[in-house]
Amino acid sequence: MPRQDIVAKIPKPKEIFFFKSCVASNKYPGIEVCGRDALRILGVEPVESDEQTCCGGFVTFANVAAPTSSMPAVARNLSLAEEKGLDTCVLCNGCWTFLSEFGHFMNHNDEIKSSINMMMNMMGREYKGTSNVYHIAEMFYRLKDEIGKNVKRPLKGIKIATHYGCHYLAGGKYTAIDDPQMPTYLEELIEIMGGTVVPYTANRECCGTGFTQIINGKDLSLEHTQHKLDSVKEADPDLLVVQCPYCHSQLDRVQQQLNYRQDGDYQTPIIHIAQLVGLALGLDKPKLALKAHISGRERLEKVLDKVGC
Amino acid sequence: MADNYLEEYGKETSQEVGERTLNYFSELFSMEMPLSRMMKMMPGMVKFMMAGKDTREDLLNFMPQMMPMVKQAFTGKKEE
Amino acid sequence: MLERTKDWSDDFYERWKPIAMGFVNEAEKCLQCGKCTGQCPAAAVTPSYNPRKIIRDLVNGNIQRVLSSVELWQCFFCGGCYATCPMDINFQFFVFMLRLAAMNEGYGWEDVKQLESYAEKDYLRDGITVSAAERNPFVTDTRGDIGAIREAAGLPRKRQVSDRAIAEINMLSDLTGMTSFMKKIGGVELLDCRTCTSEQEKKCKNKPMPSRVDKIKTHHRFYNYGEPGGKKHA
Repeated sequence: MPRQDIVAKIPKPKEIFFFKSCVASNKYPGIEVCGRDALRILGVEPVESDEQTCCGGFVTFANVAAPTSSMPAVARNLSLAEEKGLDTCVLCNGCWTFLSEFGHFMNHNDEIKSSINMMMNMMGREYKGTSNVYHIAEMFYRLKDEIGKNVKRPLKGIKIATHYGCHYLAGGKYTAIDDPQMPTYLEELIEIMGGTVVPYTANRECCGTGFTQIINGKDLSLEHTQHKLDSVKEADPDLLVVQCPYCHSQLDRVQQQLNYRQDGDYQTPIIHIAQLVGLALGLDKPKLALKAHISGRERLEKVLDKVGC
Repeated sequence: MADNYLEEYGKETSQEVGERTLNYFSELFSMEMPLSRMMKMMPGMVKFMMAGKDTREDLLNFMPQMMPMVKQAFTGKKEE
Repeated sequence: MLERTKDWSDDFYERWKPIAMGFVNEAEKCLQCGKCTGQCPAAAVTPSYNPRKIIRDLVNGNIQRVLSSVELWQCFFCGGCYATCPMDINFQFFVFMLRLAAMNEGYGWEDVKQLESYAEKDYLRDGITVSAAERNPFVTDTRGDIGAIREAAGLPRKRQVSDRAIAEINMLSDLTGMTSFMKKIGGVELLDCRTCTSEQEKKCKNKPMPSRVDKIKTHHRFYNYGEPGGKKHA
């Protein structure tokens, strides 16, 4: 059950700083476009900036540098939103944990904050720590009444399974809007949009990217993803909705790799929650950019026919 | 090739390894700004200055703030 | 070989905690309940991986065993251990801090080497860590050019990051020592059996990873917590 007290604290702002994600931009552009346009339909104007770079999480978690090196990058990205006096809305679980966790960390360590601010001052910026970071799924859940009112293409008769991903719920054990062990807010959103929720056993399991394991320990990564996909296949949903572009890329691409390596038959279309909301809110087909998806393309077309897209 | 990590470390104890690790981290996370560290920062700042007109202006605006730090690094004393 | 308990560094964790900037807090409260291992996706595929044992060894001071292990590099960074931990130990942070320590001891450079190019070629050059380039030809065959899809969706062909922003992150990288650290990683010489010359092969027999990183001698890691993982061992 979503924690209603935390949900109530999320504002419904007029404008929000729209934080673009690396994977969403370069692999699945539909996530970015749909997130932006869906927020606009729901009455929140997204503000973008070309100054925004990657959140810097990769650098720390891949041990390419010490965590102190990526903290200024977090401060820089958050200061962009602070300049405009806005909160930040992210598309990716990784960006969410990294920005909120390290932002929180800097806010509570004055010594570190002042040394980072020295670097910020060099380029005419300042980090104050006033911008709150919200995940787009959180925003959608907060705006669920508006979503209900604006549904143009009800997802009638479409079986949808959910995958929450790790970094939002687990990283935000106390700050996320739902319980890390048994979350239900995506299911609620799906039902609001008229879809049918399909449960499956491995729902709370990691997608298997393992951040860097897909590069360093590919066998481990594929084995884990296969376990997850087997469970999904058993439930046989029409769509598997994710809320993290990195999970999206892993689940989408690994299906094809498993089909190739082990003669499997994994054909479950993966879709990001922003794209699903965009679909229900009636965005144009090219804006969904479903052409960028690799697995289950035929099934995806059938779903689109069903909802009249 | 050693079969066990204890062979690889030989006579070294965990205490020595721990000591080395602690030294490494205290250097890595040090907040102090000795001269050597400041000199290491210089190439980055110069590169940033050369990147464009606006970056140069921003960096020049920062200079007054930086002078006391440079002084401190040279003398090794904290200014009162 | 029996473990030499008397050589363990009892106070390592206590002394590490204050200088580690709050990244390695609360491990002394560990109850050894093993909930972290029970829900761990990495432990599900590699039975030897065990967060509980790594925390135990860290707090007890068996530093050598932790730092030289392969298991340290098998974490998925999913954060499930933190979510389920009754004492709120954020084990993910321990992992990347311990990995830094392991790198200082000469372990794990071959893994980090593979990741360095993402930071250098994509993050520092374009401001975006994941580039549009595809390694898998099947992907490009199936969906075509990503630039065209972006254009159809109403975005510019390539995501724009301003030159100013790239200059800024490059300066931050220089100032924080990330650039020099990455240069160190770039210095690791990786031997690939397929492209190896006969001269390298000779070296390989007595010294499998012959390179040094700066002043650090690199070593191979050990399965310190059990048998190697994978399907046949699960």
